[in-house]
Amino acid sequence: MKHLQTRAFVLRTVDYGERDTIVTLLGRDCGRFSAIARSAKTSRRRFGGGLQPLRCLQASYTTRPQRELATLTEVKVVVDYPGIETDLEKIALACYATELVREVCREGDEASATFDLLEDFYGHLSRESALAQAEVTLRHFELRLLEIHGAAPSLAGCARCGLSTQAGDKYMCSRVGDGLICSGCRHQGEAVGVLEPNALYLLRGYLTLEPLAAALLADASARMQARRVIEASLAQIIERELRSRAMLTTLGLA
Amino acid sequence: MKTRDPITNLINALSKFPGIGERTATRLAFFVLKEPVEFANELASALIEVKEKVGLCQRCCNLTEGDLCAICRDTRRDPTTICVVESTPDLRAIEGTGDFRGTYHVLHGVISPLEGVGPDDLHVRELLDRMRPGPDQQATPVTEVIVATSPSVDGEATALYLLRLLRPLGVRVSRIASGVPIGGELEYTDRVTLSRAIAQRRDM
Ligand SMILES: [Zn+2]
Ligand SMILES: [Zn+2]
Repeated sequence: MKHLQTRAFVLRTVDYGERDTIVTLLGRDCGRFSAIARSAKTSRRRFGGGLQPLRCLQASYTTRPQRELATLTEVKVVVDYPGIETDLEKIALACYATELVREVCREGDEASATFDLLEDFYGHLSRESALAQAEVTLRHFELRLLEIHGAAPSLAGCARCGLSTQAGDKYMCSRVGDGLICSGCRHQGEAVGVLEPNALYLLRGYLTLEPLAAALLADASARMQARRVIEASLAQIIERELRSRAMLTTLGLA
Repeated sequence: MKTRDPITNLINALSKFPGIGERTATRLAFFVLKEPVEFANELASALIEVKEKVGLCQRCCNLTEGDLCAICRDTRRDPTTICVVESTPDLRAIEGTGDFRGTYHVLHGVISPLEGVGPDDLHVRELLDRMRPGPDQQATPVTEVIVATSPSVDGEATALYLLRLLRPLGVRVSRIASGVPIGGELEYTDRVTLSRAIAQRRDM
């Protein structure tokens, strides 16, 4: 039996029987893993308010060879992001980011970059007061997550031939998620999305987090186009409709 | 799945109960087989009866045999205050204190963005209907709604959502306090609970 410790985020909890809970975690050092928290439902002492999403935990657990489930022995809440839990929109956005991570991370894969990204996202969301900034933060999160998982849309030039974009070009975007494509690389009859220059500036700004002009942030059609580009890329790595999208829709955030 | 073997069918049906695995289900099934036939008849009719007779209270969505539950029928209860709970066991827990004299509203769940449970999956509409005077509703208007969902992310999301719906209607919306358990030791209380207890302190 090995005793291990990691910083971790809860991705899911499922009740197991009358007393126990099975927790899916994203560990900073060990990636995604599942663990059983014995008596988590009947005794609050060991796990307190820790077995919840949107909290950064210090998790202690044990593993045994040939056994899939680890056993959680203790969790301590390291950061609880108080700014998120008091705001419905922020809860919905944070849950969406958590579910995205849950979908793209597989057990056994290295996930420290994804962990750091999620940690940054919760932190920003918790501190920010304006929801407009939250949208930028979310788009940055999505683009970086795509980058980490090798599915980022090409924003510098054509995804297929590498030709870089020039001022005055008419930009097109592939519907299959690889990003910009030039007219030469567009397959015959291929459906594409048109991308206004503003949408491209937005996308690049989202990724680098360089301050964006207010006029750009107010351009609803560019924001929508940028979002579609990101969604097409996400669709490449996500196999099913995300559950947390429903709440975003209810709140007018999606 | 239905098989041709009645014992397997019973085991399959029993293992659908929460907390009952196949091994326990098998033990229960053989217990039923060993008992006299009256036992099986009694059990079967109790199961059918509970499904046929028990429904939701038309006003508060508590479980009841009639149109209105005993609490909604009780004229000594204060109809101007509604305590919103996640489930009937939660209602029973608060009722067990004997301190609350208002009425309840049972949501039968909480909003859970991560699991795709939204307001439309709960009995939120019925709660809103109680705020508007109508032919089926009580005569006295509701003045306060106490949100008693658990202090979890989902419980908070539910409370915030209800606050958003109810505040424009001019109803006072309050949230049950959370903090250090009575008889608990500060030293062993987790960080989140402690920082909440400090944020929600009261004057003495
Ligand atoms: Zn090209
Ligand atoms: Zn009732």
